[in-house]
Amino acid sequence: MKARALVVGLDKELLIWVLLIATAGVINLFSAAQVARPGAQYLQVGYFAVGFAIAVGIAAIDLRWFERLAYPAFVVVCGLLALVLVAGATIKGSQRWLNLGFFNLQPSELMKLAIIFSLARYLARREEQGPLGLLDLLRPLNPSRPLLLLLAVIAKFGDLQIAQSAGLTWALRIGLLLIAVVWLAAAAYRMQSLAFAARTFVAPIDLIAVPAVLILIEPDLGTTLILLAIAGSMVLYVGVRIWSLVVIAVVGAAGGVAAWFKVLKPYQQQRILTFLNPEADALGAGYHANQSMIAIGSGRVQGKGFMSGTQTQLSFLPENHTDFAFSVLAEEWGLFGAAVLIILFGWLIIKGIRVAASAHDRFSALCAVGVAALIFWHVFVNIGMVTGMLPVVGVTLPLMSYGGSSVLTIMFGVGIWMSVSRRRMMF
Amino acid sequence: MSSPGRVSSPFGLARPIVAAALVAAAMFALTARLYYLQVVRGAEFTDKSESNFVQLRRVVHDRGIILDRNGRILVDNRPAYDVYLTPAFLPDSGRTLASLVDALELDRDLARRLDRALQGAQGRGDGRSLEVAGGVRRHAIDAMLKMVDREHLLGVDVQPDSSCHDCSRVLIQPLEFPSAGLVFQRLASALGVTEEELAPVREEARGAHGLDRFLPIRVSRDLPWEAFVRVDTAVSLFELPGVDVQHTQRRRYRTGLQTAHLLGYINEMTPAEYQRLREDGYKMGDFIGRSGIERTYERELRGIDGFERVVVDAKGRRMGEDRGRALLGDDRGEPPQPGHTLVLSVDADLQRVAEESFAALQGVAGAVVAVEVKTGFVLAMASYPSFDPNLVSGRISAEEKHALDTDRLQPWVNRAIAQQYPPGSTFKVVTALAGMQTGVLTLTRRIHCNGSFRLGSNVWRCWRLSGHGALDLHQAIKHSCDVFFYTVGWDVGIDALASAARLLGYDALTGIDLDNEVPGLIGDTKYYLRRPEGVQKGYAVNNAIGQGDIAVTPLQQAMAYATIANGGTLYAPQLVREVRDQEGQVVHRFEAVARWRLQAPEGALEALRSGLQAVCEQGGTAYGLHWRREPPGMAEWVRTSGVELAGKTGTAQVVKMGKEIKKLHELDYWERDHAWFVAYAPASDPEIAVAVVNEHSGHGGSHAAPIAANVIRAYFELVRPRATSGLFDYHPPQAIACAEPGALP
Repeated sequence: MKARALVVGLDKELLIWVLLIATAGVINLFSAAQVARPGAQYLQVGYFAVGFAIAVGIAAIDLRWFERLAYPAFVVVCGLLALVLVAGATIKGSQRWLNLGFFNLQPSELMKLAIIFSLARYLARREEQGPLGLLDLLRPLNPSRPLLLLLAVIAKFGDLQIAQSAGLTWALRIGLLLIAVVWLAAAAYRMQSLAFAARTFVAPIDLIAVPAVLILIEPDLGTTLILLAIAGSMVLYVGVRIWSLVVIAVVGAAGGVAAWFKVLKPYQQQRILTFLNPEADALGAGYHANQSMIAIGSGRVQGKGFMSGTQTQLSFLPENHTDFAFSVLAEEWGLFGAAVLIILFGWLIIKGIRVAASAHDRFSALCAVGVAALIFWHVFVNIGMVTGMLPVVGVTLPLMSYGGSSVLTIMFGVGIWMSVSRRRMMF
Repeated sequence: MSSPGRVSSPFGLARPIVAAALVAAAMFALTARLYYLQVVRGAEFTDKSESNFVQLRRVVHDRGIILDRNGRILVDNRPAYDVYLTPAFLPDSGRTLASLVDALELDRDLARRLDRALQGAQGRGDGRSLEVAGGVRRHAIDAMLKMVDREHLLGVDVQPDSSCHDCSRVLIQPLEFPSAGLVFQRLASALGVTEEELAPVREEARGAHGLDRFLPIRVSRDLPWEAFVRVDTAVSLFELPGVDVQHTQRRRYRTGLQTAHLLGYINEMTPAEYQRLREDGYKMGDFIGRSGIERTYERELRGIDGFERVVVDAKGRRMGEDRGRALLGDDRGEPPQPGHTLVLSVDADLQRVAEESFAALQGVAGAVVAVEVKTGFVLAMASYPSFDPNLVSGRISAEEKHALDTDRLQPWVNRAIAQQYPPGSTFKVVTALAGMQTGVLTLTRRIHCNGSFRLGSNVWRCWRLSGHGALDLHQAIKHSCDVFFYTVGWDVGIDALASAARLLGYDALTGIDLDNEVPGLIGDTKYYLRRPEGVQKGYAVNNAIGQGDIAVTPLQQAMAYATIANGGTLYAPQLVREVRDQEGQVVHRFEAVARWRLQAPEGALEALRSGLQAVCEQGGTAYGLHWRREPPGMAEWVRTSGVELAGKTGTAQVVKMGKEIKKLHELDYWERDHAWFVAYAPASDPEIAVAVVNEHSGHGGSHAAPIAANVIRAYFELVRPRATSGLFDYHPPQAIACAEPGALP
């Protein structure tokens, strides 16, 4: 492909918009990184250079390639996530990174893209029309479901201590086994009427749950939530039956309560508790949220001026070049600057949705929606957490926070948008 | 599946529109939140951000200085250095190692193992390097070095392997790598103490939680200079993170032991005092006047603390002058106001001579008081033995404190005002005055002394067993004849004696501006009726010569003799002449205060004065002043100066004498007599009155009079010539506190 061909048909408006936010991000880093990581802004410029190249490159590739590669890529990234748990580098108590020698790869970032592609592929190719039901999402009669239960029961058969008395325990064990076998038989019977395909084994819930669980145990609550939010947005975009939504909401609430006691680590619980009232524990767990709110609030309408934010420059604001970059901006540029940035983000996301609306096929549309969801949820959760509306979970602000992985992921997504946008007229 | 030819959107138009609307709503919600934080609560958060970075630092005031009557410094402040430790800024080796290990992308467990090894090595003083990792890649080394650089971390070494780019070893030096233990080790050696002595501080630092971790703990107060240099150097080399040296001030008592009781001392407030005084601006750890002038004039000497607003970062580090000006403007606090300067009426030379004279006579314990006859201002006030207020106000060890507290000679007691003695023969002027006031004694009455005074079966001896023969008042005072005064005392009775004594200021506080003054005691009917034996006849005889139930303070003695000397005005003794502000302007000047004028019969005081003058002349009990060797030069001055002295010796028995009279050296120290001499000069127009008591030393004429004479000599040689400088222009008394002696209790 000639260089000219790379540029022709590019959605320049989208590109300029991204460039605008990226420039704001780098300027903000001059101030934000000054204390904690001087010079980070220059590295960030480097990441953006690579990121724009990737975006333009992706824009040149027909998305059908990604559709074809979606599932293999998903499997590979799941493999990487599993590898991270075994051989990853531990930084600040979390095992999230793979050391590649020149670069610390964060597979959970890749997963954000992989899940967009694979979910888009699945949802685009589903046979049934209309909104999704709970059965469509869970596919209980896929043989993989009872198989999982069967495997679990067999693997844990010996140490499954269900009831007090040994006899009852045995009865329950055998009962579970029977349920699994009957369930399996039902699934097998149903399979006779279906053509053999990946979809007969995989349900949308697998695409969401497997990576979510792998990331949650790193642990990385923020990325897990972002992943669930992206997937949820894509599924909702396709449409979900109202009663299914109700059931999901009820089960989700019950699961949330269970997760609070069984899954969340104490520091994660603490974060959520603190989130409910950050000012009560201003020196302990609420320190981040509280200092961030002070930074933003004290910026008032006009801001304290570039490089003059006291919260930033005197290190009261933690992680100010990464997760709390927005607080720096709001402190130094005030409501004025912060609102302009929010408008820029809002407009960018809406443009992404427009790209989806004008997409030429369902897969492209869902990819564009997925990217829009990715950026939206990052922006919403990040600004929500730095303004004290959401718990502090460690989610970056796209194009503003320092960090190679984040920049490259977002620019990859922008590339997808441009690819979709470029081909909207192609028929 | 969508058909390829469809022009419309794959999912219709409703979905994107709803999605876009939801996004817009979410963005609006974020903006609304910003509006809430930045506009609605903007002012509140601005305050919070300021209280984050603005720290009010107290600027401690200088305590007022104390000058003598000639402006010579008696007490001032000297720079001193205290050591503080802030637990929050102590290095945490566990945490540092964890971030080091993180930078190297190694396992956290390694950090825990290394921390244990490090603390072990530091405890043993083992300087061998500990290996963190070998075969470390270049980029990990770079990441680590960045961190080392950022944190000013010491004791991390990298050993590159020249043959292999990615095979560096990382080592830490146990005796350089910062840990709390190492800081305490270094601090102990810099301070010159053992680590055990720092253990309480270490415990306190470990026990601090939350905000308390940012409160500095005082480790050591008033460092010796060498220790200050060692600690300050280590701090500036980053070897003692968390440790600060604070510049402060300590009280300096330039005259040391000589004026200790008069000036008093200061020390740290107790928590109870703090609770009581916090509203007056006192802070925990402040010093407060404990005794003497320091206590009485605490209000004048204490200034007002200033404050300074400084910009600090999240770790509490001060961010410098430029940042401060940029963020807070030029108005960044208020300077402290030093305390007022006190100008005493005391003369440093006289104080020194009093001390030297006392020492010249091998005095062990006693007091010297010199006052101005015509104003009541105190010229000198000394008490022996003494203590060093510099020690007491600062680094006094427990042993030194214990030694002072348990000393049988009670160095803490200001004997000039807080100790009462039998006055002995110095009291005879009171008996004479009582006699003249009641008319029992006339100037011409002669009483025969045959060596004893009989009353029924009781016999009181005269000190001259052979007797004095017939004497009039003049001669009786000159020779200090006991029988003469026994007779007068018997004639006037105890109550007349007591009322004469009270007219001269005995049996009451003089009201001097010092603490712990005692009133003394004069036995009268009322007093004896409270005792089981009741009133007995002989009491008046005993009391007449200042034994028995008579107890006086040296200051009362000086004031009483000054009253006789000045023609009958009893002044209130005062120590402070002026209070001045920091510019030297007089805030308050104390004038002489007369308490009352004595209504004595005509010629009575003149008769007393002529008798007192005769005491120092040939044949008088203090004639020895003309030839005694100690203090050097005193006798020659008495002979040649032309200044006429007047005074009265006293030898007060401490233990009731048996039949035989023992020689001085045969008695135990505690059983020997107190020597008294109370004098004034010049006899014709008195200016200075001096009272001297030399405990358990012997005869007043030999063991107290030379001291008094030498102080008087110093007054005429050193103090008086300067009085013409105009610095102290004494005005006549303006106030008479109590004109009628009858108003006395």
